[in-house]
Amino acid sequence: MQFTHANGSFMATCWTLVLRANAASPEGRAALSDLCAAYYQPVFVFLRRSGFDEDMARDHAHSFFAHLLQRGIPGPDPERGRFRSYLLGAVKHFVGGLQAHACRAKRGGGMAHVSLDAEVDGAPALLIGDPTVVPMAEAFDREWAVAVMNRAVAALAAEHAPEREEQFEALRPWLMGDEAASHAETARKLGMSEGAVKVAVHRLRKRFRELLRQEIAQTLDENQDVEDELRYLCTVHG
Amino acid sequence: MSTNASPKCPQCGQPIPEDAANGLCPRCVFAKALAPTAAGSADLHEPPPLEAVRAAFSHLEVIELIGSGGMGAVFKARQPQLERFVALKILPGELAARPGFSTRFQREAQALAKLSHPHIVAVHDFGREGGFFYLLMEFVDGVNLRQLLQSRRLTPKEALSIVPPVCEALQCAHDHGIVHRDIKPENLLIDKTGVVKIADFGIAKMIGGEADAATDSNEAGRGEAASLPLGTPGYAAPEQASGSADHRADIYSLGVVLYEMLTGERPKERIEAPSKRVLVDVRVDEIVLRALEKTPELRFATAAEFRTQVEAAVRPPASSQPPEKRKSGCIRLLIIAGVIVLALFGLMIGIYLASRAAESSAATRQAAADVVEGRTRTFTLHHTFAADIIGGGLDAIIRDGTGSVARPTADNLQIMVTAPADIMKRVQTFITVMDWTDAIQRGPNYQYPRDTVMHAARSFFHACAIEDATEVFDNLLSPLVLAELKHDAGSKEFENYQMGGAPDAAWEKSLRADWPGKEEAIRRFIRAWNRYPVKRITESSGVAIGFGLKHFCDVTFEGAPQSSYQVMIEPARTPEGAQKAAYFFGSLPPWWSEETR
Repeated sequence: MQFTHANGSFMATCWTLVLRANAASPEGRAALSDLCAAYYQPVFVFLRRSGFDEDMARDHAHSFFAHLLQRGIPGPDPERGRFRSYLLGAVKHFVGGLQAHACRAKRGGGMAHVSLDAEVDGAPALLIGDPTVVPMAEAFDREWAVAVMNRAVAALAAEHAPEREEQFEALRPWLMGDEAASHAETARKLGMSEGAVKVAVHRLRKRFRELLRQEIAQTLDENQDVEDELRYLCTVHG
Repeated sequence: MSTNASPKCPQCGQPIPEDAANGLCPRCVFAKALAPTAAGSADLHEPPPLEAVRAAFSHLEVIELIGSGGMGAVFKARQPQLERFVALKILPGELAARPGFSTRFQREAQALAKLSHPHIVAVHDFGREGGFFYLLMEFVDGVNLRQLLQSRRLTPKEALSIVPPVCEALQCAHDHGIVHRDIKPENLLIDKTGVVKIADFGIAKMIGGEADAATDSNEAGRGEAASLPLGTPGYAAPEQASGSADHRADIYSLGVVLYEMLTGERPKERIEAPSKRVLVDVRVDEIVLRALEKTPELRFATAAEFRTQVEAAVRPPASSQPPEKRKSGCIRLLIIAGVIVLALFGLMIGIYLASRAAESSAATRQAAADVVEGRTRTFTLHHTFAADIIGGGLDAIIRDGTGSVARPTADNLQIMVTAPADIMKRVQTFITVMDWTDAIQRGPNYQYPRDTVMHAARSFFHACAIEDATEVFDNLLSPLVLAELKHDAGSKEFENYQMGGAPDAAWEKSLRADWPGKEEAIRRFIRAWNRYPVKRITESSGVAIGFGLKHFCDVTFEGAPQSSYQVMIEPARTPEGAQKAAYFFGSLPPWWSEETR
C-alpha cells in the first residue's frame, strides 16, 4: 500500500479520486483497492458482530470487497463525502442481504412477515432498533478509528526507520499524552537530556498530527473537513 | 499486532483495543492529536524569563514564578501601593499572533472581572503589557487540589466538603453565562484557611477560541473551529471533543475530580462505584455516577442541584426510622443509613390520594392501623432510588388513574404508595421477579418475607445505580432479552435453557458474544427504567430481520433521550415460560397461548 502522500505531493485525496473516476478508470480502481485494503478490519469486525464466526466473516469480507471493487461506486451521491460512511452503509446492506438470504433458506423462503400492529397508537414501527444498530455502527467506527491511527503510526514509524527506530520506539507512548511516560526515564533510555526529549516529543507529535490528518484526508471528499472527521473519530472511543 | 489480555492505557487507564498498533490507546492518541494548542505544545511552553516580566510590569514587584503550563505562566507579585500580593498570569506568547485573540481576550476578561464570588479567584485587572497578555488576579496563599492529593489521601468527608463551594461558584459563573471548561484539581485552589477557590475561569475559552468566535469579523471561522478547547483529557466531558459543551461539561469535570478525590484514581470507562473502593454511602455513588453521565441531559441539570445532592448525602439521615442493623448483610447495605421509608400499603382498598393521606390525620391513623395489623409492607430503601425506580415505575402505573404516590418533602421523608391491590401486586411482582426460579416455585401470589424483599430490592437498585447490570442481567431480564437474537427453536441448548436446565456455559458465552452491544443496550434500558417514568408498556409483534415473526413488548419512557425500547419476548413452550411472561406483563398476554400451542 503505497500512498502518494508519503512524499507530500498528492493532489487529490484517494476517495476523491475514486469518486471522480467513478472507479471505472485504472486510477480510480487502484485507489479504491488501496482504501479497501486499508480499512479491511472495520468491515471484518462488523461482520463478526453481525453473528458470523471468524472464518465466515473473513469469507464474507472478501466477497464484500471483491464485489465492491468489481462493481465500483455507482453515480454521485452527497452521502459519499466520507469513505467511512459509504463503507458502513455498504456493509450494512451487504449483511442485510446475507441475513435475508439465510432467513429464506431456513424458513421456507419467500414468506413475507408482516407486522401485526405497526404504528398502532403512534408506537414506532417494529424493527430491531437502536439496541442493535447503534452499537454495530459504533463498533465499526471504533475499528475505523483504530485503523486510521494504526496507519498514521505506521507512516510515522516508516519515517524513523531504520536509523531512528529505537528513538521512535521509546517516544511512541508520548503520542498518548504526558502521563503515558516519564521524561526522565525516556531520557535515560535514549541517553538524551530531558530537554532534548521534550523537543523530540514535540516534533514527533507535530509530525504525527500532520500524518494523521493526511491519513484522514485520504478517506474524505475534498469538500469534507478533516478536522470535523478527526473530532468525530476522537469521540468514538467514548 | 494482537496482545495478551487487553493492556491498560497508561494515560487514561482504560483498556486498549486489541488491534491497536503498538499498545497505543486510540482515545488518547486522537485526543492528543486533536489538541494542538491547548495541550500539544504545552510541554514546550517556556515561561517568560523573570527579568522580562519584571521589565514589562514596572508597577509591580514581581517576586517569583509559581507555576506554568499550557494555559500560561503565573508569577507571584506585589502591588506596593495597595500592599497586597497578587497573582500575575501571563498567557502563552504565541496567542498574540492569533487573529481575533485580542478581541476575545478583552471580552472574556471583562466578563471574568464582573464575576465576584468568594469561591472564585478574583480578576483585578487585565490587559497587554510589553507584548504579554496578562491577567492580574487575587493571590491565593495555599495549595492546589492536585498538590493536596499528592501529599495525602483525603477522607471521603473532606472530599465531599470540597464539592459544595465549588458548585456554588460554578452556579454563579454559569448564571453569568461563563463556563469554566477546564475544571481539574490543578484549578481548584485551597488557601491556608481551607477556603476553596476556582482558578482559571474562562481561560480555556480565551485560549481555545470558540465556535461563536467565528462571528468576529476579522477571523476565519474555520481556522478557529480547529482549535476548539478540549479541556484536559481525563477531565473533559465527552461532548467537549465535539466542541458543543455547555455548563454541564463543568459538572462532568467536577464529577471526575470528586471521583478522584474519593478513590485516588480517575474513572475508567466502566466506572466502578466509589463505594466499592472506599467507605461511602451509596448515595455518594449515585451522585458521582450521575455527574459522570456521558449524556449531558442525564447529569445534574445545574451545579446547584449537584451541590444540594452532595449536601444531602453528608447530612445525617433525617428519617425517623432507625438505621437497620443486620450483621450478616454486607457493609454497604448497612451504610444505607440515609434511608427513608418506602411504605407500600399493599392491601389498602380503594383509591387514596397519598398527598392527602400524608396531611390527613385520618389517613395517618389508617396507616398506623395497617402497620399494627400487618397490612403495611415497609421497605427501607435509598430514597432517590426509591423515588426514581419505584416511584418512576409506579407513577406510570398510577397515572392510569387508579392510585397515587406522595413525593417526599423536606419534613416528611416517607414515600407513601397507596394503590389498589392489583396494582400493588404488579409492583411487588417487579421486585420479587428478581428470582425467577424461586418466584415460580412459590407461585405468583406468594408474599415474600420483608427481609427477603428488602434484600432483593436493594441488590436490584444497587445494581441499577452502579450500572453494573450483571446482577439484573442475569436474574431479571436475561430470560427475556438474552435469548432474543440467537433464537433457534431447534437448538438443544436453547430448549435446555428455556426448560430451566443446567446452563450451558459455552452456549451462553456465544450468546453474549454474538452481540457485544447487547449488554450495553440492556444497561441503557435499565438506566432508563431507573430514571424515567414508564409511559406505557405495549405488547406487539413484528419481524426481526433474519429471525422471523417475534413478539415484543415496547417500553416507552417519558422524557428519556431514547424514549422507546423493545424487549423481545421469547415464548417458552413451558408453563414456567408462561409464568415469566405473566410476571412481566402483570397477566398473561393474549397472544401467549396461541404461540405456545
